[in-house]
Amino acid sequence: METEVKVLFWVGTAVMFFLALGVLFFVVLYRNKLHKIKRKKSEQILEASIESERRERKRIAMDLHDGISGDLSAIQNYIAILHRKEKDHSKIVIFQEVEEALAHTLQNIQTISYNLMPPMLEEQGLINNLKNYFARVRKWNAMQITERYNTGVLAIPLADFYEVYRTIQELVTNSIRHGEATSIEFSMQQEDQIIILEIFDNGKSFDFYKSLKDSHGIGLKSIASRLKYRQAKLVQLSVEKGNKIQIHLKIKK
Amino acid sequence: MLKIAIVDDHTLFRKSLKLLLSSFDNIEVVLEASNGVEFLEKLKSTPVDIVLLDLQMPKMDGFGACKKIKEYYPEIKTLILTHLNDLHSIERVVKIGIQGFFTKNTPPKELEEAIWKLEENGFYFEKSITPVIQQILNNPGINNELKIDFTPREVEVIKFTAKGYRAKEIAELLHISSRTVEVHKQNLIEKVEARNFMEVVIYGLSQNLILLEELE
Repeated sequence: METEVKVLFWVGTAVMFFLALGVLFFVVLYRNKLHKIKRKKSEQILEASIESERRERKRIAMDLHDGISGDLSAIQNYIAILHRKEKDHSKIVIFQEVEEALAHTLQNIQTISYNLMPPMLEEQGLINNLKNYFARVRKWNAMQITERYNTGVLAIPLADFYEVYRTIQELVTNSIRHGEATSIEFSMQQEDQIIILEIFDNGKSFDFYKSLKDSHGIGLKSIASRLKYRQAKLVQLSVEKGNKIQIHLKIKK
Repeated sequence: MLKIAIVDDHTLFRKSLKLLLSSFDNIEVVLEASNGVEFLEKLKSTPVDIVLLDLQMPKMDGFGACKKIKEYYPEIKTLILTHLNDLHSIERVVKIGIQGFFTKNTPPKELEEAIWKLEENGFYFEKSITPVIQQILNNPGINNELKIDFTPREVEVIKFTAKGYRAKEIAELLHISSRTVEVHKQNLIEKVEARNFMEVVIYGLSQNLILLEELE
């Protein structure tokens, strides 16, 4: 009789124990799953917002480039026609002023449009756009820039190379504006399935990882998280002087 | 009368440009089109001497239209008239073999000179894109392997043409007839195996026969 009670007791305890374990296991599993769903959701939201931002930038850039620039050029032509026919000196002076202002506005619109999204980004691909970009930087800044491209023909998805392009833009701007760099060495090469883009400037050194954490590095922070999302990452290499930063981009099959 | 075609998808710009060109002497606009396809269609019934061609257009863009013009109407001179001034676009059209490049940022009144220089010299590219030409030359693959000997006279002809002198002016400077200048230019095109004089100038630049600074 006593042994039966004992057995029953132990069996009962064991059953309860496993039940409790089961419930616990279930809860943990559920939470895990919930967490995964949430993370996926937020990734989707991030993707959607990155995508819609890219589209908006493109739309505004195109409106500026095609529409407004075209209109301004047309106005320029009309003013030129009036200017040619004018004999009155005081009016000619005004026409000259208007022409100058128009040329200046056109230039500004184009710069804004280009910074939002280069007009031929999709058609020309990453390398051509980088070459164009560096040509522009050279034109507007007293900079020594060397470029080396050691990759073959690359088939990088648009979303990837758009982010890489913007990252390079941000890093170069940082070097010039905050680092006061006077020379930049840019290189691009391929190692196995990874494309490495490197920027080596001679400006003030900064700790990239530290500035990611503090509030000043908002630009960098958003870039780092967007790159991570494209399965790319930023790496800082230690150098004696200046900064050496690489972007590692995985080639997707 | 010099017959001009305007190909641009921006209607207001096309209209304004037509009006501007009509105010120039001896120039008339005989054809307007909003894209490459429309242009080629209209070209069948309306012959032109020079086409002012935009690059970004729907249906068939300027790059596509350039190739077709080269293929079917090699006698037509193409002056690219665009907002694009990036390295790659210029490189692309230069390699297709256009004769002139004019960005829409340049004051429109300079267009008259550009058109006449294009007509008489067979080539025109504006000063502001010389740094870009320089970059293109730094790229290997443009005629660099070819080594050609030029006579001093030929070098002079390339140099003066590159500077924008017309055949008549070059003839006066070198004390030869303008007919001879034309012959020199034709010979040079054949010698370099170029399709037009623009390529001869670019070749000259790449071989340091002429320096970009001299063109400024």
